[in-house]
Amino acid sequence: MSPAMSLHADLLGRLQAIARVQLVARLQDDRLNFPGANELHVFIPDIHLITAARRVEGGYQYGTNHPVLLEAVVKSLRALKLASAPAGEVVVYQIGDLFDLWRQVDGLDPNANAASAIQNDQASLLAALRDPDLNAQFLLGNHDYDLYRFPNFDAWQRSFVLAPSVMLLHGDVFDWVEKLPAELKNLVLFLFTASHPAGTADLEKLRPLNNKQRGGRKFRDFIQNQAPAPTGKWRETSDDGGSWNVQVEGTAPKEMLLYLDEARQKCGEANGQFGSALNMAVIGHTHQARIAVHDTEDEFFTLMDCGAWIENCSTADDPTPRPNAQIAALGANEARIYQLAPLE
Amino acid sequence: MRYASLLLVLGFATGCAVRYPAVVPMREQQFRSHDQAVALPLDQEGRGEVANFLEHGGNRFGRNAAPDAQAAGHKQMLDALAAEGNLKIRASLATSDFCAIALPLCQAAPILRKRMAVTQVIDARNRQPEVPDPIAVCDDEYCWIFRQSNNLLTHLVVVRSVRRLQP
Repeated sequence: MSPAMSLHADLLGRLQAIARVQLVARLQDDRLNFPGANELHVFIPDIHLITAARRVEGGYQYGTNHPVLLEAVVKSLRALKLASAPAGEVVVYQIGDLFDLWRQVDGLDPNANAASAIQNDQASLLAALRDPDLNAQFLLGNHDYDLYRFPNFDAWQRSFVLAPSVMLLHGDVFDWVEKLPAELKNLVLFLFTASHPAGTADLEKLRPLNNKQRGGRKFRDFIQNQAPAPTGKWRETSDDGGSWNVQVEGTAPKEMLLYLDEARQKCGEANGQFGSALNMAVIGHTHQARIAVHDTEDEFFTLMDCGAWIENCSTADDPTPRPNAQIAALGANEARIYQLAPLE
Repeated sequence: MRYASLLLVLGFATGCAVRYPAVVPMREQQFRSHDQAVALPLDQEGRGEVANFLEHGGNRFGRNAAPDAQAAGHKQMLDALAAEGNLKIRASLATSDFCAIALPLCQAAPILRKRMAVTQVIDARNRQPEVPDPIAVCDDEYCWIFRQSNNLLTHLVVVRSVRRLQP
């Protein structure tokens, strides 16, 4: 068993010690071109924190799912990271929309007061996420995009390229990138390369576009999915290998392929322009956990949507709404998404 | 007329420019009252250290005393920080009004009234920003950087403001 295979197993073992774990999806394929034999990349998707007071004041009908479990997961990842080093490297990412500034304040948050209020209200979770030993990497989502303006958040990025083949981004750009004029399209394309990371000035230029998506919406009843997001068929976890619940273009329902084509096109453009070899995108944003694949004779491309910790999902064999509580992991040419629930 | 036009242009330029939030940096050793924040409420020793820092013009290693233009206000502040009841705050309030966050302290130490709360405290000694956020408030010459936990101010470092007029 390779070191990264054991890192997948180590992660699963630690999760099972604190949560009920089910396998949402798994893709095992050498064409991922992400062999990373001694590294495991773990992705925590959208959390959408607001303060308890704001939730009451704003009349929000929903909130972050299982925050106590989430904190335990984060602490467990820290322990995994420390135990795996130096032979193995575990890198943890929160992939955007950790804070929900759009629901916390009605307008701009010019002095980081809203961000600070959320951070103080959720101090133990935030302390775990910002633990120096965890050294989590943070992405800006659309609901917390404005954090880039604040010094204590300016290490947060809009995208990461995990060489050689994986593009990691929040995913909201796929909502609107194709509607942009050419100049801005090119600016967005720079998100898809490690050689020109988006600087503050670039983020400033794109900020009006992000605000336009907000469009005065209040998000009182939902953000992305009014109905539980379909996630296919889950199963109990095991380390028997093989792929599971992978949505293949051509056979899978259309709603399971959201942004597969957009991600494939953008990564293709970036490959053409920057000479990269991206063939996988890892995103959050849609709150719909799934692995979708474009698999033709001349092209293999994967989209892993890591899910969320807010709103609900359902499975193909059970329409009962279940709170989204997913994390995803990637290493050794294997991608997995787990659904977590508190131990009874 | 030319000056008026110039002022108008400058006014528009600065008014429309991107504004970044206020930041309080943790100063170098000389210009901070402590290396490790002193616990609140202030005991006799802690109070003495802060008072000594202020009496030396915000220079911890200063040899000569310097007049403190806000001495009366600072004395009230030190008195206030010695009482536990003044340390209660509302940390999850999204406001820049320091007194909305720390009402009891403001009532006991009027020097803090109408001052801005700053949550972006930069301390290059840290590997990550502190959580929960420190809350800083600056008077005319000093910034008071508070650590907090569970809606209480728990620790304090005073730094000489980078905006201080006199060296």
